[in-house]
Amino acid sequence: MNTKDSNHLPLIIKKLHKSYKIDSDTVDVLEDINLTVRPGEFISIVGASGCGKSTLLRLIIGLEKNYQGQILHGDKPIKGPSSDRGMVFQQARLFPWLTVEKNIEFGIVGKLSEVEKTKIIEEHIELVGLKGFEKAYPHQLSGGMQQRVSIARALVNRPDVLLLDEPFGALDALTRINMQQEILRIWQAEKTTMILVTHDIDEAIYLGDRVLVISNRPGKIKKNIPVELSRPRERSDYDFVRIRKEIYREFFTQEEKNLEYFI
Amino acid sequence: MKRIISLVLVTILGIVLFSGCGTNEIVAKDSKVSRQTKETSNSAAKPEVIRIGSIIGTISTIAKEQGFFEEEFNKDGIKVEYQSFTSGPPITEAFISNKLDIATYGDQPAIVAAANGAGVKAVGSFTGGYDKLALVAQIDSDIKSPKDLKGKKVGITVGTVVQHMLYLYLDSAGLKPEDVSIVNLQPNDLITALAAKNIDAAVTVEPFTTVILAKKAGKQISDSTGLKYMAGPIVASNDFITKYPEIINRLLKAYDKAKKWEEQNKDKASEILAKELNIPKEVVLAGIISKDTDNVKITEDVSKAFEQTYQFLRSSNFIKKDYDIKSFYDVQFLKAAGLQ
Amino acid sequence: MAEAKSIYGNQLRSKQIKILTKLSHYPAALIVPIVILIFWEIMSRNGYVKALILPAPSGILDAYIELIKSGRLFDNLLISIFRVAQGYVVGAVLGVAVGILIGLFKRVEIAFSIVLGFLRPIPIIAWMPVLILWMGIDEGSKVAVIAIGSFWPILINVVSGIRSVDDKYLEVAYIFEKNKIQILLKIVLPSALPSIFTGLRVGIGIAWMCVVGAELIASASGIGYLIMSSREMLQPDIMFAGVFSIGLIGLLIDSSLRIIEKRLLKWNSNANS
Repeated sequence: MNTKDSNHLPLIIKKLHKSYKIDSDTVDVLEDINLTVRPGEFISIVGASGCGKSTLLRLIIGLEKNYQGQILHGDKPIKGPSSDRGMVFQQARLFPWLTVEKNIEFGIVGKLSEVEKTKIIEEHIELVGLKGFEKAYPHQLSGGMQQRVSIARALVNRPDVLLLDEPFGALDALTRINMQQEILRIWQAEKTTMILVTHDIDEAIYLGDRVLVISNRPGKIKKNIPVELSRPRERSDYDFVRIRKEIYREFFTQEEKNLEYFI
Repeated sequence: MKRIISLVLVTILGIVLFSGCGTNEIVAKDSKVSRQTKETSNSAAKPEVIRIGSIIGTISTIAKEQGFFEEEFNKDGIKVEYQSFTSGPPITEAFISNKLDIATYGDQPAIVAAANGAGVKAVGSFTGGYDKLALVAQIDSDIKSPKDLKGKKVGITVGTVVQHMLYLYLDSAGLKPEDVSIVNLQPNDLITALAAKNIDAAVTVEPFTTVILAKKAGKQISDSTGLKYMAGPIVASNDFITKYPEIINRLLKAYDKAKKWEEQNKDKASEILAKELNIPKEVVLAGIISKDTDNVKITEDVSKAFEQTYQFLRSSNFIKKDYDIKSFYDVQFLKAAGLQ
Repeated sequence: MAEAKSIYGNQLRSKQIKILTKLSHYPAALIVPIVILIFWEIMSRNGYVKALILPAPSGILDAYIELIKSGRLFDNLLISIFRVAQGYVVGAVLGVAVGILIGLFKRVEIAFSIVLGFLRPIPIIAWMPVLILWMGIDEGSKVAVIAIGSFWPILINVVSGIRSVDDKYLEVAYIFEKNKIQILLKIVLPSALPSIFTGLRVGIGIAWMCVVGAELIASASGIGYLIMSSREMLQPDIMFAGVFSIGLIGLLIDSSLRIIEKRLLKWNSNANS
């Protein structure tokens, strides 16, 4: 299915610095971010609210532009959006006036024949497990299903990199766990590089090959924790818990004892 | 839900029973008025105020300016209030909503009002003649007679005397209403429309004909000679008549005084109307004052004109039920005032 | 596949329940008008209500029957409907076009702000003498009055709809490298469509209301003229029959538009009720 195996490129970020001007003040959002994401890697980024992790994704996808430092996809600096990079938001952001298949079709960049389009759309509908819902409208779908359509749309161009900005934050706990398994399955099928931003620490550990912890204002990479556990991972597994403790320590300095009672 | 239904049923029952107690006449028009007048007829009573209505540019303005009404009534402590109009139908509405006691206007709207139960009656006549109605055309038009109206745009004021006049013009030329394009305009708008050449011709009544000629908005093609004697009744509400018949006599006397004064003081009278209509006094003298009647009698011409108008209204179904036109006018007050 | 079927099935059933609930409201809703009519008829028959001021319902019904039999009602209604249609189309086309321009381009908005801000508060009745002066007393001025009347609500709603396009959708379009035309046609206009439709619905309502005003001056046909002339001829029963007809047709027009709106905007779950 995936024809891009040999063409995956790494994502390289060097000395990235981003600040906003609010009135007369300059607010530093991200400071000195250095990061290399290997092709096909799944990395999770955690941080408190407002630490700039969403801004980081928006810079990578090309929604934000003015920055200092370098963001490279392979050897090309990122200057704006491209079909090589896709993004999924916390809200599914589907167009209510289009059906599932038309929403996915919207994502297609470039000229394709009707036959080719239909084939690709069908493939991606199957990929996210929504076969039979081609003609449904977003308001007829549940939150989890809508998010799946959003993922299908983001992947329809077979991008190198998929950015996920708190994709399951708006879903209920059970659906969230289900969707985590789904995204894992999709990743293993497509081998797309995944960069996930979340403030669910368990999710970060469950999914990522490594977890980056970002500090608060300005956002800096505090820790880079490899998760060398085989998948599927057990949330109650010793190593899983150990890594969780390590990450928790970055956010909560006390209450170490109470952690023992968490599941 | 059940409660609402039973409440509603009780209400309906109550209304039906209640209405059964009152007088059961199934009369749709006027019964309330007649009930009132039975209670309060007292010929010695006087009103606090007399409300007089009139069309602009007529004897009423002259009477008002010269104070003939005040002269007659102030000694009894009765006030006089004036309202002026540009056409008849609003006067009828004022009568219906009990805002006028006596008014001077065209016979068509007055007869329609009486026949439809508005509770009014003619007690005198404020104008009359074959030279009060006119067919006017654009200033440089080549319309020479009603025959030339075919296919043209003709303006009239629906509900007033000129409506009947248009039909008579068409009839005289062997035309039907469908042969012309009729446009309904208020008298002032007729003047503007004719001047702006939005209409080809118009049927007008004094004082508007004279205003059109004075402002050079159009030219007169013909009057109503041989077709219609224009009758302008002095109309009073039945209510007022029943309550204060003596006041009616005195009002007629005041109108008559104004007429006699106008006859003797044509120049000054022209000045008064010239000011009201905002046109030169010479035009007023020639077009209005010189042509005015000098009394308020309901002559045979006048009563015949009422008859003719009624026939037109009945046959065109503007009045839906037969009406005794003779009950429209009453000469007893003129007689009592010594004017007829 | 089974999951799809069951979700659809549930939605169909809930729609049926909604319709049945609505229909069951009608008997209760009819009670009030019927009581009012009975009360009114009785009051009129006893002379408590003067026929010249407010005719009895039976009188108005008689007038209605006569107007229908003589064809006067339908002839005049058709003439008015035709006028309204013409004026509305002009007003709607202008309203949508100008609205889209103002909604999309800040510069256009600024350029027009003073002129539009000045013209908008002028009531339609006040426009009539001006229009008659410019366009004469023919169809032109009447159609113009109706066009002006329908223009404003349509303009306002179109601008509002275009402005309120969610930024989130625009970001998605940007990410997928859509050009300005694609964004306009595929996102801005569909997103603004509910507002545009609201504007169109309000606009046709006002256009229809304008027709009496438009036919007030210098007309000899149309439902507005029927009302005006019957007033002058002291025929209040015909006048009321005319007024009722206006209300009825207005209701029909609005209902029809609502049905069309539901069809076209079936994706808009907020509006479906």
